[in-house]
Amino acid sequence: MTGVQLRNLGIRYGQVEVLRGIDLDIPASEFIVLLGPSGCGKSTLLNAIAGLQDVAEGQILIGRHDMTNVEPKNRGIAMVFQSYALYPRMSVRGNLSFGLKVAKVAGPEIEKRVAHVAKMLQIEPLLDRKPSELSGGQRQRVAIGRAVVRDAGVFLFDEPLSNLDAQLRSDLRVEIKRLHQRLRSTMIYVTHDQIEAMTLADRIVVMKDRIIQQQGTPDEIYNRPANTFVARFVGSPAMNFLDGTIKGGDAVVDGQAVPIAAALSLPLADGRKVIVGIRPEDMAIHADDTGSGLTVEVDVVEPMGPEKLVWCKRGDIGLSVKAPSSATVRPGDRVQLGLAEKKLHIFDKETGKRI
Amino acid sequence: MSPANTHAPVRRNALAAPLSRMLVYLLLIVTAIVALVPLYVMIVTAFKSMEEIRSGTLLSLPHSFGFEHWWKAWNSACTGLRCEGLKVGFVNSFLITVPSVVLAIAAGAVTGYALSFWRVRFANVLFTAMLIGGFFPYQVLIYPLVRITSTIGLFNSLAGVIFVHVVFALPVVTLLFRNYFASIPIDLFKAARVDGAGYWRFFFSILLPMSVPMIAVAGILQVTFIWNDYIVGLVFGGINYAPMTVQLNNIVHSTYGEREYNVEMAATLLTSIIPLLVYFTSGRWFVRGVASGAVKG
Repeated sequence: MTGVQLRNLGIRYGQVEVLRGIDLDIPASEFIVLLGPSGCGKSTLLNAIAGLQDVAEGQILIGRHDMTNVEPKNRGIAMVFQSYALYPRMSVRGNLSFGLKVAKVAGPEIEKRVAHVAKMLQIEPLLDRKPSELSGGQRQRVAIGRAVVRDAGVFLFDEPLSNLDAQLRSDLRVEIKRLHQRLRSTMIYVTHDQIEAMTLADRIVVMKDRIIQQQGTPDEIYNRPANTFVARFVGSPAMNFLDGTIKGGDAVVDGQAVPIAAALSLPLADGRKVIVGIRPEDMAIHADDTGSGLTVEVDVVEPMGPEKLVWCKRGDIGLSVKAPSSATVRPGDRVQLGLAEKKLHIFDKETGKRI
Repeated sequence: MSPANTHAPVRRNALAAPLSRMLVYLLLIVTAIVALVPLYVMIVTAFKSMEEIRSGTLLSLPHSFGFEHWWKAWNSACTGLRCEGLKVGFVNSFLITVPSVVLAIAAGAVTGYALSFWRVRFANVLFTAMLIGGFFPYQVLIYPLVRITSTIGLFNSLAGVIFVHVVFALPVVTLLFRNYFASIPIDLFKAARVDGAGYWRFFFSILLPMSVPMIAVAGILQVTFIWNDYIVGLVFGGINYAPMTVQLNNIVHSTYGEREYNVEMAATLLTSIIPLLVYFTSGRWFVRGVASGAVKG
């Protein structure tokens, strides 16, 4: 079992700083997801762990050994790419066995391992085909097989599902999770898709602007986002944000007081500018005009099957609310939004950090 | 496409077809005639007897097909003082073309590979320098190259001709391969490195098998270019390694007494037979190679 540690890692392209001061401790057998928007450096970080990207400063430890300057093949890693990166002129069997041949593994042993992996991933009927004769899902399955056959302690996935259509993506997602449960290898998975991150990860590392924004379990990331960026990036539709000013323990939003005391451990001083965050599922729509919630106008209603997504507006403020499919709201209705006080997320207006 | 979309243009084409089509065909036919008449004259003249040629019927078919002019051009036509025919030049051209093409492609492919996949220091500077060298008209470089080859003892030798051909071919072959390799996803290179493949392993096991179309294109270009070359062979080959083109010129220009048009025509056709064969047999590959940039493996 192999853990991975990154110590104060920095990466530069010439004068441009891509990553700075990355510290990350990945215990053996953990499934960790690096999540972030494109250009945040998550793929660069993965390439650095693989040894495909030079490191400007810091250290990479794999299985407690300093691997910072070790060749990719000697790091005990396997990698799966977004573009599959199958060798086009080799059969599936050739693709699976190439790494083992290079490593001079004995012929019978290669055959045994290829057969084992082909069975595990159900690609046995494809072994003699060329990559061009496979569908996208089959190709990625083969690419995963090529990684598994290496018997590596650490698996690196670089957005492996991003080129697939929605149905295949969720199928293969389950398959990758099953693979992890079976192999118990350390897996480092890069994606910009927060659903993949939530469903697969033991722990999510959210990255943006060259640094780690937050790391934690999917539950922590979702329920206690460290700042407005993480709060907005994780969750679909995104969390709603309301600008407010503290007055008498409540946040005054657009002239209406919203009680927030239950979401805070300590009351805030009057006059402090805050951002009140609330997820679409943490609000309820009341048709009656009781005056206890936020008064809004219904803008658009999207029926999703099991629920309805109601887009509301109040002046310049837009809010999305998840309502049961039985809800009978129509565009133009004036309704009250009940905000679950304990589920509010309060961020500092200046820094965007959670209070 | 929906049926509604496909119908309208089809109908318009059907109406516009007769006139514009006829014009296009007319233009193509005229162009083809202009291009093919000289070839036709060459072929029929090569079969005619001198008597028939003298009668001035340039375009008529030969009364009798005589192969003796072909035989003479190949075996006994005089080039200067020697009368051994073109076959000497054919052998020389062969000895020059095959190693030059193989070496140029090998060197160009490896250079293109290094430039596109490995972070070579000053790669862009090197590549630019190479291209500038490649776009120089090579007549300008003849004299310096004569000095260089004579200094290193390659002047007037087979190796010298091959060396010069490889030098001239390198920029364009490198450019071809570099651009072809640039279209190959970098992930493939990364995957191979994780699998443990080094510099040569990746090149031979993965890149080269993918490069067959490009090798064919470079091969066609270089075979025709080097086979048709005149000046490099003339200057660097000396008397012993004069290629076929040089010998052809000598046959045509060194005539005592009557000009044997039929022998000269036969000699010219024999000289051009290799490039023609290359075009006819590998045109398919050529098109595929040119188009391969658009096709992702």
